[in-house]
This record gives sequence, structure tokens and C-alpha cells, in this order.
Amino acid sequence: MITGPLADALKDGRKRFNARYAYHRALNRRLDPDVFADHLERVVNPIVDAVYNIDAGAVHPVTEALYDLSLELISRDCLGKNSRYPAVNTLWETFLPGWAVFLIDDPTKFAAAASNAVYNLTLQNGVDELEWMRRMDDVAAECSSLDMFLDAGKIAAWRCGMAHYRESALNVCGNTPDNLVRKLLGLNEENGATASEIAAALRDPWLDPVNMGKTHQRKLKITAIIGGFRGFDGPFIRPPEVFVSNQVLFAHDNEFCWSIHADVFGAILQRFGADLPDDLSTNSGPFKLNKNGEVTFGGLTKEFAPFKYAASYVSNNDTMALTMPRTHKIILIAPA
Amino acid sequence: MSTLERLQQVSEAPTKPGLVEKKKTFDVADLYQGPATGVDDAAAPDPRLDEKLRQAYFWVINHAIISPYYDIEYNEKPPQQYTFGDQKVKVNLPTDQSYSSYVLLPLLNLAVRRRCLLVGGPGRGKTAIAILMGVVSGYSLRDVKRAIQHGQPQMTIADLLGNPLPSTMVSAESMEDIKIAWRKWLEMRVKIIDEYNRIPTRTQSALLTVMADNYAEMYDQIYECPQAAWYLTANDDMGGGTYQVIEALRDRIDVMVKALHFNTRFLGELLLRVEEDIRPEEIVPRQVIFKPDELDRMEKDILRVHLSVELRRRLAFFAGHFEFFEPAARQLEYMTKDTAKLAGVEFNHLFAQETGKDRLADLGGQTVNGLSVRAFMTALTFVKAMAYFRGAREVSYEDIRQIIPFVLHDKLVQNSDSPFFEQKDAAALRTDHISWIRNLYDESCREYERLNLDREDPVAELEQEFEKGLEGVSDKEIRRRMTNIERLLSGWSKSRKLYGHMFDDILKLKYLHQRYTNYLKWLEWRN
Repeated sequence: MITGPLADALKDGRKRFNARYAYHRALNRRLDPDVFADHLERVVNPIVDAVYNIDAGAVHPVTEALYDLSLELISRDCLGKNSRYPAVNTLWETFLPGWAVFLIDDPTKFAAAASNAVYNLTLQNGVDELEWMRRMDDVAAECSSLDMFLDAGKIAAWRCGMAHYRESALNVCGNTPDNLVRKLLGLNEENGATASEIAAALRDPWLDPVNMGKTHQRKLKITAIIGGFRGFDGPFIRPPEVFVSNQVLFAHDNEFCWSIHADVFGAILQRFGADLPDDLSTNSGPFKLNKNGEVTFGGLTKEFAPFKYAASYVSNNDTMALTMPRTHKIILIAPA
Repeated sequence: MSTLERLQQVSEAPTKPGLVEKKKTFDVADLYQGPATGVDDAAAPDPRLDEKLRQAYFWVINHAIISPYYDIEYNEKPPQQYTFGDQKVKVNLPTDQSYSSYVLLPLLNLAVRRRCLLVGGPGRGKTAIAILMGVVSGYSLRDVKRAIQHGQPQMTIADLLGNPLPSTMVSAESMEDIKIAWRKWLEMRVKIIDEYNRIPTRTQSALLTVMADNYAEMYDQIYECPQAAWYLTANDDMGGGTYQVIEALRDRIDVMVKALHFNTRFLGELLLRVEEDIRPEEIVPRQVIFKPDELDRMEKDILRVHLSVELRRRLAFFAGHFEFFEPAARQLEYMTKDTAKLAGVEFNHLFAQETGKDRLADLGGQTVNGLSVRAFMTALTFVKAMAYFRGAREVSYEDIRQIIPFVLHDKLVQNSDSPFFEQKDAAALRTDHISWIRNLYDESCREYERLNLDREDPVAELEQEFEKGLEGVSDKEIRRRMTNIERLLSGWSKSRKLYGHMFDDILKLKYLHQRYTNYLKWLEWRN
């Protein structure tokens, strides 16, 4: 049973809300009235209560926005009991009530942005969307505006393993308060580095922020193993081969091409298209691998005996990508 | 997927494969883009507006307006062709993305914000497409419907423009003191005039001021309207409405689109819509709705589309056929159809006097008028819009060939008594003006190629020479150029026949000669 401010808001706009439901129902027959009613009662009701406790005047616009967005997301099986993305449910049930202040600011923008962020994080293998929500919850109180919160979300997404967002997230760091950047990247409070200093230092993809300013002995090591056979939820139909073009690492399985993105926070494959990029090279680059499986780079050497059987390997200025003949995985080696 | 779900589907980009560059960089702002709509678009990657325009086209054509016609045909390789009937009508199976004029032209009109006339019998969706254009340009359906001006015989200027406020009428001591409650539609960026040929003549004149000069005037008060895309509808294009449409108003219409018949093979689709009570204008997807600044940007982008010199010359050659009318005057400058028209002389009476010229080959004989500057400007804008819509940054030959008939439909008035239409296959061109104008353009291009003007255009060479400027050019060089002009004119004068395309060339040569003469006189005076 829906009670309190949500019930009042729904009652006030009963005709309008019913028409919207009927419209979405006409567009999508899978929109189950029971699922929608359950969602309103169990999920939206507490969020609207939280909004009411901060600003009673915001109940109506927030209700309208959440009602419409719920219809949209439930129709696409992204929210509600039948959702294919449980993390989006977690966001609405567990975190949105606590972030009510941002909902009041711009309910549609905020709820849609947060839902989309969780959805996008869910789609990436190896990225922990729950960690993103927790990190955001940790910093929510320190965000003075919705835009600041959303900027923080971008940095947190990179921190949670979205390595392909690295460059643009570093740019966002420069415009975000120092304390927020430090907290998002896991630096302790004693660390007095400014956001710009942190961004400059982290241009080195393999520098762990906790080692900033410390003398840390780098070693060549396997930093990530990504990819896999398509039959086991991986991307490749056959063992891939690696290439490099303009400092970007690529993998190709004779069917599709992926770009490889990796740093200290995670490694990720992004589908590039059917064709290989221009200016492609199979030159090994600054990392060298000898016939004994010894990798050398910038004065560092490390032996990985099985690598003497490598099928292909390339590198850019930071990372080496290597494939083996009988596996669909890609091994990344870097000075970390 | 149900029919109703299909209705909100927007074609996935790229709608014209091969136009989009591969994405090589990633923007963390993409994090907030996904299944939930409503995130500030500023955070979204800037979409290509031509792609959005194509998505809007495909949404309208696939889900809103049942117009399964591809009368704007593009081919990247020769199409399969079949002939049918006594007239041996050719049906092509286009090999490149082709379009329905009924949806495409209103969209292009929205993009370049001109004036589009939708013509067709009742119930063919003329008002529906106009309303869709209003919604696509960002207005709510309610606002669009309220702003439609429905032409009717009792429509007054006050109905159209607004009313003076009674309180100010009483207290006003001068006209300036009278306040006008302007009608809301005047501020819209999409203006819809339904059945414009049912508006009384006097009110049409008030409408003309708004359409032509973008302002409304009442009691010495002026209301400046924003730049807008206009959609006018009429059941009959030949002036068969309640009132004759004033010529100036007709002339302001930039492009004419004909609503084609309903293809009965699509009755099933129609039935589903009736049963599901779906009105497409109510479910326009957010992705295909343009913001005002996007429309501004799109228009600027369209005007930046390049038109090559080679195509511009073809277009000029084509347009050159129509104004020239030898029997109208004794002096070359006045040998125009306009001279005959202003004199009030029966055109065919004069046309019959012409002798010796091949009246079938003379394209100018097929029209009773020439092209105005406004018609040229509209043609140039719409061909650019067509190229832009196809994702090109340069106008192609086919863009001109496909668009010209719709732009010139009301601009070129057919001389249906021309012997050309007496030919066996040409009779249908008397009524099918789109095919007639396209045929004119094709014939003109054939003549252009026969004369080898792409390679040998002496006037263009002289033009280029002149455009370099006269500063520092010696009198000797000027005389050489003048001799070239005289020699060219002398050569042409030996041919007995004078055709339209030569008319402008001769006048241009006379112009160049005069400029050189003046410059030479100045040089002589200085020395």
C-alpha cells in the first residue's frame, strides 16, 4: 500500500499518471501492472519519503520524474522485479533515498544519469558496479551540487575499472575539489596532494595513487589477463592476435577488432569494429621478449618461461600485450 | 516485438553506412548515457546533426507516415529497370539509399526554414506531416495544434494576427498607444497554415507580410517573428480553393510537395493503428526532436555545403534557357518573357511568330516565364540541404537533379501549348510537372555535354580572367581581352539561331566588354 507524500502526489495527478501508464502500456504489452505497482510501493515510496523530509515542495516534481523514468526503465527490463540488471534495482532501493538532495536539484537528470551509469558499469566484465555505488555514497555528502556529484561519478567509474575512460577522467580530476579526488582515488587524508598534482602523477598508468610520492620499486609483472572464448562469455571466437596502432593496443580474432585499455585500476576490451585500424603494426615496441620468455623494458627484466611460445605480442610505451597459441586470453605485462 | 513497440524505434546510427568515422577516443561523459532518457544532452557526445536528421526521416517514414514511395532515387551502380504499360513507364530498383519526397522535403524545409506547400486531396496526411514537423522541432503537440491557422472564408486579419486591447483602444491618444494582443502562432518557429487557399484575399495580403518579411503589422505596431519553417496545405494547387491565391504569396512558397495516394497494400498497417488507437504525433521519440540551437546550427552547416563550379555552371546553363524570348523585343536586354508579360500580350501569339528555330529542342519554349532570383536562392539552398541530408559536404549532380523539380514546381509555369508536348511520349508531362522539370534538367545537361562546356567554355575563361581583378593590368592586355570578346561574339553571330543559354552569355560578354572599355578609358586618361 502506497502511503504518505507519494500517495498524495499520485492522487493529485491521478488522471495524468494513469494516462502515462496507459500510454506506456500501449507501447509495451510486457509492462506488467503488478511489477509497476510493486516498484512504486517498495522502491519509489521510500525515495519520495526521503525527498519529503528534505523539501516537501519537491515531492511533486520528483514523483513525476521517477514515475516516468520507472515506466521507461521497467518497459525495457532495466528496473523492477524482472530487471536484467539487478544492480540498477540496488541503486534505486539502497542508494537513491540517501541521495535525495540531488534528486531535488534535478530529478530526471539525476535519476536517469545514475541509472545509466550503473547500467553501463554492469555491462563491463571485471568492473564492480556495487563498488561504484559505495564510493559515490562515501563522497555524496561532500558534493555541493549535482554536477559535482556527477563529475565525481566519472572519476569513480574510472577508479572501478573503466580504463578506457582514463584520459577524460583525468581531465575531470583537474576541475574537481582536491579532497573529493583524494577520497575517490583512495588516498588517505594526510596526503596533501592537489587534484592537479594527482592528475599529473597518474598520467603514468601503472602508478598506484597510494604510492604517490613514495619510492616504489617497479617490477615487470602480469597486470591483467583479459578476453576469453565467446562460448564461455568472452569476446573472442578464436585465439586473438594483438597489434598496435598509434600507441593503442588492439586484438583481432579474424572476425572483430577490440581496443585494449589497461591501467592500475583495471583492464578492459572495447569493440572497435570489424576492420583493423589504419597504421597497424606488429612490431614489438619498447617491450622486448626473447626466445627464453624473458621480457625486458626500461632496464627491467623478468622471465616468464611459457611466453617463449607466445603467438603474438606488441607493446606501447606503458604496457605489453601478449597472446598464446591455445588460449583466447590476452596477457598484459607492465612495470607496476 | 509488437507493432506498438516498433512505433517508437529510432533507426540505429549510422543510417547511411560509410559516413561515420570510427570512434577512437572515449569520453567518460558517455557513462551517463543509456536506456534512461532525460540526462542533460550537454553531457552526451555531440551527435552529427545530419545523422539526427536522417534518423528523424526514417522514424517518420517507418512509423508515422505511411509513404512507401521512393520517388527521389539515388543509384551507385546502374539500377535494374522494368517497363510497364502503353507508355512504357520505367520502374527502377534504386541501388543506393532513396527517399520519399513527401517526408524528405518537409524535413529539409525544417532544416533550412523555408516555406513548403503540401498539396493533395483531403485525408492524405498533409496536416499530419506538418504537425509532425512541429513536434520534431521541439514543440508540444498541444502547442503545435493550437498554433495551426485554419484557412476559412471568414478569416479576418485580426483572426490571423491578433487584436488591439480594448482598454488601450479607449485610452489611446495615438496609434502607438494601442497595444496589440498578438496571436501566439506568430512566435512559433514552425508555422502551419492549413488550407491557405481558403483565406480571403485581404487576409492573404497580411499573411504575405509575415511570410515574406517575417513581421506582422497592425495599428502601426510591428511584431518581429522569429525565423520559421512554414508549412502550407492546399487541396488544389491550381487556385481552386475558395479564394484565388495572390501571386506574390504563391511566389513566396519555396518548395512544393505532393501527397501521394494511399497504397492499399498497407491497409493492414493502418488497421493496426486504428485498433491500437496510436497517433504517431503523440509518440515522437525524444532522440529525433531538435532543439532551437540545433536547428540554427544545422542551417548554418547546410549553407556551408560546397557547390562546385562545374555543377554551378550546369545549373546556370539550365536556368539560362527560360527567360529568353526573342519576339518580345528589338533590343537584346529586353528579349525576355517578362517583357511580353508586362506588355500584356498573349504569349502564344508571340510564340507563334518565331520561325526557324527547332521548337522541340528549344527548352525555353516549354515555359511561359523565367526564373527569379528568389527561385535561384531557394534552389541553391535546397540542393545543399539534400547533400547535407545524405551526409555529403559537397553537392552532387544527382542532388540537383532530384531536388530541382520540387523547388521549381511552382516557379516554372508550363507552356502546355508548346509543340514539345504534342510528341508521343511527352503528353503526360503536361500534368506531371515533377517529371517534366526533371526532363528539362536532363535535356539541358545533355545539351551542355554536347556543347562540351565542361571543357570548353570560353565565357567562363573570360570570366575567370576578369575575376582576377584589373589592378595593374596593362592597356595592351585589356585590348587583347576585348579582342577576344569581340571575336567570340563575331563567331556566334554567324550562327543564325539564338537560344536561351546564349542570351545570358552574350549579355555577360557585353558586360565584360563594357567594364574593360571603362577601365581602358580610365587608363588612357591617367596616362
